[in-house]
Amino acid sequence: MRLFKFYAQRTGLSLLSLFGAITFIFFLTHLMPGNPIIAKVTMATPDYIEQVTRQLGLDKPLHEQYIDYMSNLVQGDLGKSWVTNRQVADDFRDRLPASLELAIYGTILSLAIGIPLGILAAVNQDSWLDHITRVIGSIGVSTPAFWLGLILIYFFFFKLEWAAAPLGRLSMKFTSPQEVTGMMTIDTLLAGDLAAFKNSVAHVVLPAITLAFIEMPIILRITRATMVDVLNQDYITTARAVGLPYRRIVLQDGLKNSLISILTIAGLIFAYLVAGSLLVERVFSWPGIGLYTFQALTNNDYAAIQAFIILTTLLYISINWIVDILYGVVDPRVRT
Amino acid sequence: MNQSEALGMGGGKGSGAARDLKTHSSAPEWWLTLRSHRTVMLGIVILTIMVLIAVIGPFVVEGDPLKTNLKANRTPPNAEYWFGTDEVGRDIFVRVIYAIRLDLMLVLVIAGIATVLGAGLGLLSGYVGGTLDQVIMRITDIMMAFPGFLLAIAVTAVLGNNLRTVVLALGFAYAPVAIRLVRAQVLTMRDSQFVEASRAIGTPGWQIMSYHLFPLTLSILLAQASLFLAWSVLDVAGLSFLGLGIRPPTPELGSMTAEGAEFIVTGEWWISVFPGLVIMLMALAFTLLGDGLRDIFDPRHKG
Amino acid sequence: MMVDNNGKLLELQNLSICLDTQRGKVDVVDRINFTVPRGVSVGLVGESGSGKSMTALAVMQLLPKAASIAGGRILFQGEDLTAKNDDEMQKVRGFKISLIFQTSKTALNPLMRVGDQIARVYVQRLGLSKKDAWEKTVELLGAVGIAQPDRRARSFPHHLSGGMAQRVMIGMMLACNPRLLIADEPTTGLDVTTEAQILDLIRDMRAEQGITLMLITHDLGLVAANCEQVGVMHAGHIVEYSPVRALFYDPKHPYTRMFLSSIPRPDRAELSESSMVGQAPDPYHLPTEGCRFISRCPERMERCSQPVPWVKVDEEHQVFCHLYQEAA
Repeated sequence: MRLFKFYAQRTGLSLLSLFGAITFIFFLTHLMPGNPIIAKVTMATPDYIEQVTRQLGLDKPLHEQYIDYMSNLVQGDLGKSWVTNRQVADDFRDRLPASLELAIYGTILSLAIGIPLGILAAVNQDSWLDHITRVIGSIGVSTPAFWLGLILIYFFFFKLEWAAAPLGRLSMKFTSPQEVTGMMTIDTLLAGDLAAFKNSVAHVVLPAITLAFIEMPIILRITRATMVDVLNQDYITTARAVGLPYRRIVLQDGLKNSLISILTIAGLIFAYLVAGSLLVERVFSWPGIGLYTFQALTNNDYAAIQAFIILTTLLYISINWIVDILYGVVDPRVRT
Repeated sequence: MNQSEALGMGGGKGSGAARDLKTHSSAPEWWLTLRSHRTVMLGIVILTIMVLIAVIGPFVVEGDPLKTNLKANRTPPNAEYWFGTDEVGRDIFVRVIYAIRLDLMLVLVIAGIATVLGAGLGLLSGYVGGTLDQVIMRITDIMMAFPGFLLAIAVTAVLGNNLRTVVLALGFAYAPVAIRLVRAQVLTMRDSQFVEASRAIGTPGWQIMSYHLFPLTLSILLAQASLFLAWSVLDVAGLSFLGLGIRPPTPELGSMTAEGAEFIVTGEWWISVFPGLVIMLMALAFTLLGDGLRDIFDPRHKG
Repeated sequence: MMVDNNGKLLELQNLSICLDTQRGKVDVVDRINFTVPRGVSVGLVGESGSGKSMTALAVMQLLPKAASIAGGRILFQGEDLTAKNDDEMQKVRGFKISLIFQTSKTALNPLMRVGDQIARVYVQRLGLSKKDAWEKTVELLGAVGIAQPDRRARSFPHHLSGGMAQRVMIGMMLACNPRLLIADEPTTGLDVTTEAQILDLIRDMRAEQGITLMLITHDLGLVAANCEQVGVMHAGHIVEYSPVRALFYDPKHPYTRMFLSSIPRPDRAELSESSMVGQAPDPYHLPTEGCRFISRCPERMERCSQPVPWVKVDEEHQVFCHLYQEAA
């Protein structure tokens, strides 16, 4: 029963945050002086302005606009992109799988490197290994993602010709497979098209590494910090006192008790990757929502930009909420 | 948004906790401690170089950052053009020098806004408490829900693509982190005997906050400010890479990197690599400094 | 093949432990000599900070990172434990020597069920199957006096009371039948009734399994009730070592006397007035040679700043004091 109360509280808070954020975005856009369309369109005749104003509903009183805005959102109507001339929601739906694929690979890669390194650093505190991981962490956190992407392209595409050209997910000469999961790598494999599969891997490898490089130092740090904390606890001493081998203890008790914190961060990072993909997708011309939004920015495609912000906010708050729920599941103390 | 920010925010999930605070030490002691941290010293060294470049660079270096020379465009680094030239033949080295100055000024303003806001609201929120505190906390909660980078994008898209918007947006976006930090400190000290005594003799609240509480938050605030600087470097560069904020032909590290992006595939690496390298060094310097300061002032946070 | 050490199960020879703190190095334990004969329960008493817990951890080679053994040997059944690396020690822990310490709730992993924490000892150290291990665990929990053991085994540590948690610990530590059980403040923080129960439990399990007990505590009453031999520890030194009766009826060392007089005696009408004088010495400013009780000792002499002799006053009674030099 108490568990239910905990969940209800968390959900309530999340919804409140979501509501607050969306309202904030609304006010941001609608209270600003000046007509937003005029700001965008250069060659506007008064008639045209009036027409579009009526079209966008901007001549209605503020509270009516707000209600329209909210009801549209709830129905999933994110407006229309004047660049693609389609519903923004549809554009997003089309492009989301690409971003997801990248984010998934990036996260997996960074967890695969970050967690083991973090464990090693924690177990061998203050050793040379520990210091190196700290250095890697600091450098990783300071490296601009877009620059790293460019460097990787230069070395692995231009010089070594190992990776594919940074022009999307699949070279022109291949046909896209039937979309099953939305992930190019998996779909080509499922379709049995090995050449296309190899090609898709060659395309995804550099952007995934770029994303992983960004995320990895954070995973590394949080793993190390949490593990150090956990390994200092009394129950670790108990386990050792009973004669359990240290290696086992680190992996059983150490990891188990650290996992929550690590996963929390991983979850937040995943959300960031989908959102922050703006930079990486631009560099690699990866057809995901990041590139879409970048193009929207360049073209002042207002509805698309707003949709991106809303969706990202939704994503963040959702991930936070999921993490809260997971805390309740994983840590029995929270339930009491 | 950048990874450094995510790190700070990730830690924020549980870190409303009180922190122990070292009282003021005499100058030589903190200098000695600082010196013993090699990474921090490295950060300081890099920073000093950057500041020097920013301040005297444009006077010492000959050349116009805006001058184009189409005949010499896309030249690789050589004796004449140390960093090579870009698409329209501008000297990249000179542009980088000017860009450092511009970026340093920008990030100082941004970090300044965030720190001042953070300190002010944090002090208020922590000391006054009550509904004001609750309101501020809810707002910071919402704002911390998503990163400064995205907030800046949202704001510039709407309010106009200019420098002022970017600076304000980032400054406001980072502030919640400082607010939380300062507030946590204030909460630990609010009920100390010292404050009680001051209140008892009638010292007005604002005096207690500014003269007694604020100096005690200074050390941690400075460490955080350094991290703000690091985040700003990356975020400003990222934004201008996307075309927001600074626009060409003004030399700015992020936009310069963007200009060179299309030439990487044809092997003309210098146009992007040098500006990007400087971005990284700047961010690294601030990060090392901030982390080091945080280690010194709050050793529990190690790792 | 175990080398027997003349019936001495555990022997500390000139053991020193050094602690590296922010303010400098501290000799928390300075060249102590201490013996636990087989089958004889020995107590180690002292105030907090005297170094007794560190000694226990040192025997198990579980000293915290900042502490290290600065000298001397720890002989268990004749074998020097200080010469072993962690893998070798790991075989000793739980099997030959077990350690119970005081903070029971935090001493158990809060995210693991109680039963799992015990069962894995059976699985990993005795090679039992998971099923057998669980059965034995439930059995063990019953043996240590926990009601509804199969239900309790499935619960998490924070559901347990202090007494129950301590019983779980005892069970866990005795699961592999060690020869020596070191109990460091096993009942601190428990109420009097539970304390009595826990001690009874320890006594029963000892008798059942033939375990030798080394009891570390600040409570002389516990020592009186549970031990045959006792060592008194002060500021990293063992100042007196004698049979329990001898200690109570004929304490030799001034510190022991002061310690004893701090206990309110129920057989007298009034509380003893001469309680502890002054505070424990500052660990950062201890004399490197000579007696560390010198600042509080009512009988200090000139000689006391000289290296202190370990004097055999009686058959089993030894003192670390200049006062008894002549009697040696």
